Amino acid sequence: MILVSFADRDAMVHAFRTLRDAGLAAETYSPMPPDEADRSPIPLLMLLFGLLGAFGSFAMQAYATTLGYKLDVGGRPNLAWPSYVPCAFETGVLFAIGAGFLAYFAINRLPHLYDPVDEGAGFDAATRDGWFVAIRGDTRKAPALLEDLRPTSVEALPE
Amino acid sequence: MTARRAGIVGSIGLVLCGLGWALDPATFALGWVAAVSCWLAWPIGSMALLMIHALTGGRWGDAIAPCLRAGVATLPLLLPALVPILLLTSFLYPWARPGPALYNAFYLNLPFAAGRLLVYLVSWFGLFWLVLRPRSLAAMAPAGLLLLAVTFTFATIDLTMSLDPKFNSSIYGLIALAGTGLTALSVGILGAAATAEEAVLPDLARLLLGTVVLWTYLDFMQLLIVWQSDLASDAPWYVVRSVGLWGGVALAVAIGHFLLPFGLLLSRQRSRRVSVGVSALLLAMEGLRAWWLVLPTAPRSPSWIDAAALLAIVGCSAYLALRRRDAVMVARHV
Repeated sequence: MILVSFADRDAMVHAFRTLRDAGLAAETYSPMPPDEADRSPIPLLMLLFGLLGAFGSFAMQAYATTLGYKLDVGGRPNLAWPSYVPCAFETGVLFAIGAGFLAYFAINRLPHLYDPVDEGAGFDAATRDGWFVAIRGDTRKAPALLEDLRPTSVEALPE
Repeated sequence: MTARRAGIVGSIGLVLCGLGWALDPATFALGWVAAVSCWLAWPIGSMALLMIHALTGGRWGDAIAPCLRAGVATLPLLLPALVPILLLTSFLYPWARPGPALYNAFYLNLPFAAGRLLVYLVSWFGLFWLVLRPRSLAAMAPAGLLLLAVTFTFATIDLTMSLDPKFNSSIYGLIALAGTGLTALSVGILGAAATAEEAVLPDLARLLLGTVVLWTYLDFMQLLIVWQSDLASDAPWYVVRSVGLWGGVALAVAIGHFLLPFGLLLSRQRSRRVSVGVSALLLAMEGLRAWWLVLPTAPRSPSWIDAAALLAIVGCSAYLALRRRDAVMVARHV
C-alpha cells in the first residue's frame, strides 16, 4: 500500500481522480468530506427507505381499518387518512435514519478496528489538517503518476 | 425606479378596489381582509426575525437585515388598510351584527374588540419605532418577541378566525406566527439572493426548510384535531374548505406550500435558483392560503375584486419597502 499526503483538498481530489482514472484502487482520508470526489449512495437509499416506511405504515393502517378490522368510530369513514399521517411520518423517519445508519457502517466497512493505513507516519493529521490518498493492491503504476501530482509525502506501507 | 413601478401597480389596485367597494361591498370586504392578513405577515415576521437575530446572531440575519428593515417599514400601511375593515365591520363579522348573543360574546363584542385593536396598534408601532432605531436590539428583543407573539396571536383570531365566530382552534395563532416567519424569510431570500455571498444562501434555505416543516406540522395538527374531535362548531369550517373549488385550493396549498418546497429544499438547498424559486412559490402559496382561509366565509368563488385587493396591498407595501431601500442606498452614496 502507498500512502500519499497532499497540501490541500483540491490537490487531493485531483490526485484521487487521476489515480482512479488510471485504474488504481485509491481512497481518500481527510478531515472534511471531499465534496464531489465520490458520490455517496446513502441519500438515495435513505429516500427510498423513508418512502417505503411512510407508505408501508400508511398502507398497514389503511388495511387494518378498512379490511382487517372495520370499526365504526363515531360515524367517521373507515379510511381515516388524517390519523394515519403522524405514524406514517414517524415510520418514514425511522426507516430513513435506520437505513442511513446501517448503510454508512456497511459502506465504510465498520466496525473495523485495525487497518494498515493507521501505521502511516503523521496519518492522525487526517482528522485535523492532512489530506491523504491511499493506494491499495497493485501499485506498480503509481510512482510514475505521483511525480506529476506533487504530493507532500509518499510512504510505502505493508498491506 | 422600481419603487415607482410598484406605486403604479398599487394605485391601479386601489382604483379597482374603490370600484369593487362601490359595486359589491360584501365581496370587497372579504377580499380586503384576505389581502391585509396575507401582507401583515411581512412586517410582523420581519420584526420578529430582526429581534431573533439580535439574540442569536449569525450571518443569515446580516444578509437579510436590509430586506427585513424594508419589510418593517411597510407597517404604517396598516392604518389606511384598517379603514375599510372598520367601515365594513358589519359586513364581515357576524358577531358585530345585532342578533342573538353568541356564547363567546364576552370576547367578541365591539367595545372590547376596539380596545384590543388599540393595544395591537400601540404595541406594534412601539416595536416598529424600537426596531428601526439604529441601536442594538438585544436588550429589548426578549420582551419585544413575547409582546409580538401574544398580540399577533390575538390579532389573527380577531381578524380572520372570528369571521366564523363558532370556529375555535387554539393552534390558529401559532400557524399564523409560522406564516409570518415564512413570509419574511422568503422575501428576505428573494431580496438577498442577488447580493448574498455564496455560503449564506444554503443557511437561509435550511432555515426556510425548518420553517416550512414547522408550518406544515402546525397546520396539519389543526386539521387532525378538528377531524378527530368532529365537533359541530369546528368541523363545518373545514367542510366548506375541503369540497369543490376550495378543496382543490387546499390540495394546491398542500403541494405548493409543503411537498414541493420540502423536497426541493431538502435535496437542492445549495442551488441559488431553487432557493429563489421556492421562496417565490411560498409567497404565492401564502396569498392563496389567505384566500382559502378568508373567502369561503361567504358562499362564493374568488372574483376580480379579491385580486384587486391583493394587487393594491402588494403594490403599496412594495412601494413603501422599495422607497426605503432606495433612500438607504442614496444615503450610503452621499
